[in-house]
Amino acid sequence: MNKHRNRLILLNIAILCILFAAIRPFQSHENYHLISPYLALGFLVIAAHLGGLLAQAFALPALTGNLLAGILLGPSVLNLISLSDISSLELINSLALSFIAITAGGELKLKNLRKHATSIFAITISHFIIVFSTSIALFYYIFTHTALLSITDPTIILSFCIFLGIVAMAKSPAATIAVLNEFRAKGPFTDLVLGVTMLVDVIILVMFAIAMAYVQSIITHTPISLIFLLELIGHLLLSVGAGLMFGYLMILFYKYIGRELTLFIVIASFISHDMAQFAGIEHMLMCMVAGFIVQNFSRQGHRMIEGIENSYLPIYVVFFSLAGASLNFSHLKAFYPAVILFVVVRLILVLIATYLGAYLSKAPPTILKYSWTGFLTNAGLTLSIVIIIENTFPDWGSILMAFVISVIAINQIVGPVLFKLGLDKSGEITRWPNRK
Amino acid sequence: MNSSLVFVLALILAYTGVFFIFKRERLTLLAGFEFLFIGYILYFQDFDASTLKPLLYPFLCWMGMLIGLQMRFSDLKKLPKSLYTTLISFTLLTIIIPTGLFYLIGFSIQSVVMAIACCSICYRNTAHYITNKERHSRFVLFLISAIPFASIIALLLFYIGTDPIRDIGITLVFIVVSSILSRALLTSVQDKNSVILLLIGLILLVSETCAVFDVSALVVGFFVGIYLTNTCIWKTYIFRVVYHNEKQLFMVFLILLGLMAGLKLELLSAARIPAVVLTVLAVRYFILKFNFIAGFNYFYFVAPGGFALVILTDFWLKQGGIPGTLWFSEATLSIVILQLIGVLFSRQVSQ
Repeated sequence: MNKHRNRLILLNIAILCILFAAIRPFQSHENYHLISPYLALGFLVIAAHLGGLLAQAFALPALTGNLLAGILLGPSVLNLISLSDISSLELINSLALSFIAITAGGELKLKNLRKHATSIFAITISHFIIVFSTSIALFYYIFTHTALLSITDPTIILSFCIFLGIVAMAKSPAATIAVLNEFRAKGPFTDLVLGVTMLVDVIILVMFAIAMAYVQSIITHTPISLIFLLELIGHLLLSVGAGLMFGYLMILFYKYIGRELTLFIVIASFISHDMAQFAGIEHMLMCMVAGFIVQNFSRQGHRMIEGIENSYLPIYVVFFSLAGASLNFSHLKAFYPAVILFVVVRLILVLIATYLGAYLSKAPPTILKYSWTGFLTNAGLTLSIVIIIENTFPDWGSILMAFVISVIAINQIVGPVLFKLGLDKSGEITRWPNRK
Repeated sequence: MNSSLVFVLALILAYTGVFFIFKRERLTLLAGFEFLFIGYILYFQDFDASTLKPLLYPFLCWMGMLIGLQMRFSDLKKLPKSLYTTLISFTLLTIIIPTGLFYLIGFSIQSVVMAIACCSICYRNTAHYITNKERHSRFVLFLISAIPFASIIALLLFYIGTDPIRDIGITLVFIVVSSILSRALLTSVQDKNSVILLLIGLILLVSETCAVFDVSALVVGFFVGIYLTNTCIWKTYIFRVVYHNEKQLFMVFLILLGLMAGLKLELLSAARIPAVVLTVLAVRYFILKFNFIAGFNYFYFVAPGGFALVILTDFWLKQGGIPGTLWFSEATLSIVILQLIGVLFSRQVSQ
């Protein structure tokens, strides 16, 4: 029966692709540029969701299917979804990121975090020491002694490696939340992975700002000013403050209106994104704080989660399929030995750092054995970081960007699969989407 | 102000405003048409809203589907023949006579679409006042709710008449392909969340494809709805999903319509709008008088309701959907005035 259903889904995807490919050439309509993204969105939603269902049939997370569908339909392979479609749908991406950040904050329950506070801090610190520092040292050595990169200036190689260290340490709250939501995972492993991912996300923001200042100072030979550090702290505090305010506004809505919870969470994500852009603050941090406040400082957390559970599926399908479509594999050809080396080294370092952190904090055996699987994916935040680097240092930033996009492409596919396996082994999955 | 912000604003306004418009005690004077004026206000602001125009097509497809999903053949067979006879005679008369009169007023080909639009009756207003459960009352209300079916078929016949090759050939291919594809996709999933997601995707895909080929999204949506409700295992759930938040989504449609279509009036409009209103009032009076009005006040059947605007929009978009089209502004305002007269006088006569 399941085999028959899978064949039916595959057949539907194939027919849909043929029909869509047949429609595309007729788009010489005067409204082409207006209609195209919505048409592509409709096609992508269906095809990516079917891809997700197929992935579930093979015991993989739905987001892997969404990503693979995006890659297949995107400019790298079939080119049914064009680059202009992807950029037109950018707003949906931003909305999805805010939604994911609110969800991430909402999933962090203070009560559960307190139980694992020691492990969370220990693992975060060990990631900083082992993953970040070792990556920098190791890759600086490799790149200065081999011709894997087309860069020879040691200062630039050092700058390149500092940012690679940050990339190695970064996690993907989006992928983590998507897998947890899909399998409704609950337990110490889930709480710990969430806690570390969120904490690392905030630390990455600070580290990136400091790294930018440091790299600029070594390239231009000017010292880092105190004002810069104060500005950085002020910026983060402002984002947290905005998050607090936004969280309390959300509480007021849930308390006094409490209707249309699904629509509210989507609109709140959109407004928060626009607000943050307008005020120039970190919107992911702001949304995480807002979600955290609603969950832990009011009695309205269940309402927020209800809204999230009703609306997450379309948002994730669009977000991950667009993410897949925007992955460019052409760079992989140029750097594949260095990229594969980096992915493998990162995996080993994450495994060692997580094990060490968990061991030192006397975490339960499931955390000790499997929690590393939750820290492999990196996506949205990493991508935003390399875009800024490319804009600031265009000559070598473009090499870093191509390199990191290839790394993301591999980690996005491998990470969620391993994370799902880890959740399965630790026994924290409470819902199997494809089992009755 | 950017277009996405306007869309979110429209959503917020629609979802909050709907509680004030459709209060149980009584309807507001325009029974929801107020949102069209919000759109008009936004139209006169200085920003490019053209990126929102493609969003009108999914709304039309959704409304067509909503009507089509109610046409289950097993239920239709059980209905009395008298209902079909009354429905056909009412539709034919309320289309043919006004078409001629609108043509005399000065409208060209649009007079047919305007007559089809003006043939519908606002179910919400009528049901608000006809509350008894007698057989005749139920018959009348059922008839009113069935008018949109006849209107869409009349619209399709009109499209076929004006451009036979395109509308028989392409529309037929669209209806067949969209229906089979929709059913195949929806039967391949096993959970309700997937059904919702696929419906969203299908409505976007089908309606925007209709936009590319200049095919009526309303008509295609209608036939896809009929096919799904008669063949798909998820039929009851699909109807619940499509019907859910119907009022709110319609309010969003009105805001977008006002924003996209805009308003243009000339000196000539001062004469044509009252003429259209008077024509509809007179024609409807005579038809209702000799048909099935017995026992109810005439004003209960004056308000044309939102579906009239849906029909007009479908044709306007097929003609290119140019903002500030004179005939469209006049037709829309005539319908708004008829709605106002209908709701206002229904309220007064019922007191």
